[in-house]
Amino acid sequence: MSGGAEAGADEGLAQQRALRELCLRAEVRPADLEALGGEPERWLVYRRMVRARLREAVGHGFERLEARVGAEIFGAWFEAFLARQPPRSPYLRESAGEFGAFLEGYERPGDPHPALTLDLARFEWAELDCAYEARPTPEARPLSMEARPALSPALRVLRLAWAAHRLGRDEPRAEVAEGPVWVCVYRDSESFDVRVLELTEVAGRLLGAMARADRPLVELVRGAAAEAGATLDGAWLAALSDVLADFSQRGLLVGSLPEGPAGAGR
Amino acid sequence: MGAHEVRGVGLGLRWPLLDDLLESPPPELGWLEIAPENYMRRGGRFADALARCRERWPVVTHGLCLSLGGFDPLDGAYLRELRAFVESVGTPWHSDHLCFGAVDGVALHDLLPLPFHEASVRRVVERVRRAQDALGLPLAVENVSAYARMPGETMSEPDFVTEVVERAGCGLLLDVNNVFVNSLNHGFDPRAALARYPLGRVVQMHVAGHELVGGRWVDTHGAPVRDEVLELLGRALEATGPVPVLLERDDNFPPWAELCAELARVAAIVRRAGGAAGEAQRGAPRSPGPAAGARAGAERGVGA
Repeated sequence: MSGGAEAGADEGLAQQRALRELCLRAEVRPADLEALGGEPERWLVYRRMVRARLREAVGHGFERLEARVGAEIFGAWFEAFLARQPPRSPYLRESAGEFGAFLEGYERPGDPHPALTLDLARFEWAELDCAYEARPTPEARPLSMEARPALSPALRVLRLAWAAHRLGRDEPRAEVAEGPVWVCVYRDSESFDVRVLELTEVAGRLLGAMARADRPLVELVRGAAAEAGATLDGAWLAALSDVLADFSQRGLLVGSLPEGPAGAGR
Repeated sequence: MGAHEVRGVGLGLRWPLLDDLLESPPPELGWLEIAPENYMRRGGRFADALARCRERWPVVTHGLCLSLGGFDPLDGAYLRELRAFVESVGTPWHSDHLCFGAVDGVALHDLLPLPFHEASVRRVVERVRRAQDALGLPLAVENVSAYARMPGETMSEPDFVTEVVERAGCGLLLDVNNVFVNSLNHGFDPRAALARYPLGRVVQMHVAGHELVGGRWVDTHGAPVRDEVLELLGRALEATGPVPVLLERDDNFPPWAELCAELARVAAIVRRAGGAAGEAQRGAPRSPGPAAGARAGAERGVGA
């Protein structure tokens, strides 16, 4: 490449960076408009379009959170997201997940209830993530306690400090009970609707461990019981049987994985 | 579904249209276009809807994220996923835009304009060749609506597009509405400009509606196609012969019957063009050309 062409490439990259900054910065910098040349109003069309599209995608992912904290505070967080940790995924809908990840480490000025905010953000993203889940349900053989369990990939197990999952779309500012509470967010295999199942602590721990599928089911049961401080007596085992049957009926537990390396089922 | 089945008029598959589409399919509808990024990494309801549509219509993929005019390296992970996806839906070609959409790894999720000069042509040609090679099927590039022009341009848009498609050996997805919108925003004669595009490379066309937003005409896909654009489409088809034409409607959806009527209007123009083109061209839809041949030529053409 000639020196002239290289200079042209440098200039071209600088122009693209100027347009990126013009689109993402909270304030319009004259230097970016100067680098782009021409009529500023024309470039501002792109600023409006880029920001509107990303704002819509992020807002779609966190409707209840935005309604709860208010559009002004949510908008300020969105601005911080664009400035500090802008989207990188080529898939627009994943910008909502990127925003959710940003919120985890961001100070969130004006946050009226930090713990609830994070729980609500995690829950709302889990709903979308389950709806989007593309991995197929694994091939499974009949359920065995001696084998690793096979689960639908379209489920997420959350331990929430606040019962954010009870907030309805029509009343996102309602009072929220303090937890902790375990929930399973999952996609119905027939209707594709996303549903929420509130779990006991031991069932939540068990389902979370089953989703990792790194040990035989019997070991996962013992581990979940120990973590929850439960005693493995007859009543407990009967309850376990009911829980596993319920998981199966909902399509969460589809059987056992064929023999293979631990963790290969996920 | 094979390439030979993509003919006549198509419709962009959008979620709000799905139920009407499946329950009352327009008789003129010959195929569907999808943005693969809306279906990749997405199962459940979305995959199911696409599968149901594929049972009835051939599907052509029209992507958003190759960033063919960008400076970032082509995204290898995205290309691998895209290849698997386009193979799974059996699209006869894949298209994307002559624009950039990412800078330094930041995804801007828009179709941002390129400068029309030689250095830009070289970069885009190289990236089109690489993308075509990575995807393993013919690639077509689309002219975009541009609301501003990058500084330092030395050529017109039709000349830029011609240089890119000829040197890269790829197809052209001619967006007739984009030609018209650019003529409004930049003040030129759309008919004269249209004639200067490499019409022999056209494999597919788009028509859509545009609207005045903030003092500029914007390709919103949210309004009916204007008569002037349909007239321009007729002219383009007279020159190219019958190529598949897509009606894009992504926003502000009208009642289904209205959209079907609009599709019928476009179909009538396509039929007239087919008749005018004669038997020699009818039934022989163009393809951007065998990918392997284009790649071989591209390898030899680098730096020429």
